[in-house]
Amino acid sequence: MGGDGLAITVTLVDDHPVALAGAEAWFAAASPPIDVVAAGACAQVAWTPPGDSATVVVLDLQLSGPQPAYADLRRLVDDGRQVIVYTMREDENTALTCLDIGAFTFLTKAEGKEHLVAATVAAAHGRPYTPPALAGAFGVNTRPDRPQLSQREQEVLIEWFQCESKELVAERLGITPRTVSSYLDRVRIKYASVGREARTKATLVARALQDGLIGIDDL
Amino acid sequence: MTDENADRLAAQIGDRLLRGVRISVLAVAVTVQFSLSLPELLRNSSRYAPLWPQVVAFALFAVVAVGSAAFLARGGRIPHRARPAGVCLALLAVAAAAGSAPPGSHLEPADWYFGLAGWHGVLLLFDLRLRFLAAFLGATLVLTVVKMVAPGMPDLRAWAAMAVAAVSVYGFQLALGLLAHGVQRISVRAREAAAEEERIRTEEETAEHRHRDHQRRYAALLPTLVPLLAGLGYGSLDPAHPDVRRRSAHEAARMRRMFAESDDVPDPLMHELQAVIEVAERRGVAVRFAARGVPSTPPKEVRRELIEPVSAMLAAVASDARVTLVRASDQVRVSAVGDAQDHTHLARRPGRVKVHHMVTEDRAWVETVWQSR
Repeated sequence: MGGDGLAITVTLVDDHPVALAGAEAWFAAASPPIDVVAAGACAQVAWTPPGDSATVVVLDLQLSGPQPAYADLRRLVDDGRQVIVYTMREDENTALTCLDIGAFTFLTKAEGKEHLVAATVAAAHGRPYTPPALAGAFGVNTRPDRPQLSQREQEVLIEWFQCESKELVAERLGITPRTVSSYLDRVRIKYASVGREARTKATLVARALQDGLIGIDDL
Repeated sequence: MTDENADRLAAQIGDRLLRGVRISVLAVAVTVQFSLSLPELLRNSSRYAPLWPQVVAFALFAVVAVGSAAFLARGGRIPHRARPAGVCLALLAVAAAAGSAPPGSHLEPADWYFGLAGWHGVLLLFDLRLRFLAAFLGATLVLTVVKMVAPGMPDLRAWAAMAVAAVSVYGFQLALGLLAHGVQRISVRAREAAAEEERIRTEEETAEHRHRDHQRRYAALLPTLVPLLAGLGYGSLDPAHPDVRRRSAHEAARMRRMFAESDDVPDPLMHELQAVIEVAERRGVAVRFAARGVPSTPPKEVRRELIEPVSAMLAAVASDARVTLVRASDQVRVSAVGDAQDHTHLARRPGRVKVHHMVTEDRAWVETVWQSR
C-alpha cells in the first residue's frame, strides 16, 4: 500500500479511450502528480504486471458487455486491491452492490472531474471517501443488512447528495464543513464494519481508529 | 355506479317481471286443473273408455305443474333443459286424454284437457319465441281433431263449434304469450335505459372533473402569466431584459409541467420534474439530474408544491444546475442547485411542502421536502 509520502500509483480499467485519456490527464495535473502505471480496456491489466503493482485500481463497471463487471471487482477485492468503481451507472443498487463486494468507493462519471483524484488519494491513504452519488444510495438504502445510521447522518447524506457542496450542507444544517466530512466518513466506516471481510474494510477501520474518527467502543 | 352494476340492476328488474308472469300463469293452470277440469273428470268418469288414461293424463298435468312450481321456487325460472320434458309430458297427457275421451265429433265438458293443456304450454314456453307456443297449441289442436274425425267426418256445425272453442281458448292463450313477450321487451328496454343513463352520468362527471381541473390550472397560471403576456404584448416589458427572460422561462416551465400532469405515466412525479428540466435544457442550461429511492406518487397538489420552487429556480439559472429527486420511506425531496444570482422571483406560499432556500455568492439552492408520514 502506498502510504503517506510515497508516490501514488494507479491502474485504469476502462473500455473507452477518451475516458482513459481524460483520467490520465487529471492524474497528471494533480499535485503531486499521480502516476498511471497501466491502463487498458480489460480488467486483466490490473492483475498482470505492471498494473498489478498500482496502489489504486480505477475500474469502469461497464466493460464490453451488458452485465456490470462485478466478477472482476470481486477478484480485485479478494486480491487485496483498493478499487474505485468509476461508472456511467447512476442507480443506487449498483452502488450498494459494489460496496457490498468490497469496493473502496463508488463514483459516477458525471462527478468524476471533481472527485476522481481526491478519491484516489483517499484510497491510497485508506481514508473513507463518500461522493454524492454514493451518499444518495446510502441515504435511501432499505436493505436489511444496512448499518444503523443516526438521524443527523441520514440528513447529511441526503443534503450532500442533493447539493454536492459541503459548504452548502454545513450552512443548511448549521454545522462546519469539517463536521459534514466527519459524518460522511463515519457512515462509510459503519458500512465497512458491516461489510464483507476484505482488505478495504480492514484498512478503512484501522485508519479510522488511528485518526480518532471512531473509538474501539464503536466497533 | 358502473356499467356492470347498471346491467345487473336492469337484469334484476327483468327477472322480477318475468317471474311474476310465470307465477301468475302457474296459478291459473293449477286453478283450472283443480276447480274446472277435476269436477268434469269426476262427473264424466263413467263415460270414459277406459278411465285410467284420463287419470294418467290428469296426473301428468299435475306433475308438470308441481315441477314448474319447484323450479320457480328455487331459481325464479324454468331451466331450458327441463322445458322439452315438460312439453312432452303435457302432449302425452293430451294424447292419453284425447284417446280415451267419450266418442263424439264435438268438444264437450268431458274434454277437460283441451283448455288446460294450453295453460301448460303458456307456462312452459311464453318467454321463448312465440312460434314454440304456437306449435305446442297447434299440436294439441291436431291431437284433438284426430280424436274427433276418427269416428267419422263431423258436420259443419260441429266444425264451427270446435273452431269457436279453439279460437276463444287458444287465441286467448296465444295473446297471453304475446303479452309476456311485451313484458320481456320492456325489461330489455329498461336495461338499456339504465345503462344509457349511467353512461350519460359518467360522461357528465368526467367532463365536470376535467373542466374543474382545467379551471384550476388556468387559475394557477392567470396571476403570473397574464401580466407577463400583457406586458410583452403592450411593449411595457422588454423581451431582452434578463428578468423578463427569466419570468418567461419560468412560465414556460410551469405550463409544460401542467401539460405533463394530464399525461398517463407510471411515475408522474418523475415525469413532471423531467418536463421542467427539459424546458431549462432547451434554454441552454446544462442540468445534471439524479434520483434515488423507490418511485412513489404523492398527490397532485403536493407534486406541484414540490416542483414549483425548483422550476422557478431553474428559470433563474444561468448555465448549469443539479436537480435531484430523493424518495425515502418517510419523505420525498426535490432539490435544485445552480448558478442563479437572483431568486427574488421565487414565491413562497404556505403548503404541505417545506421549502428551503439558500443563496451564496455564486450559487442558489432550493430544496422542497414533503413528509409522507
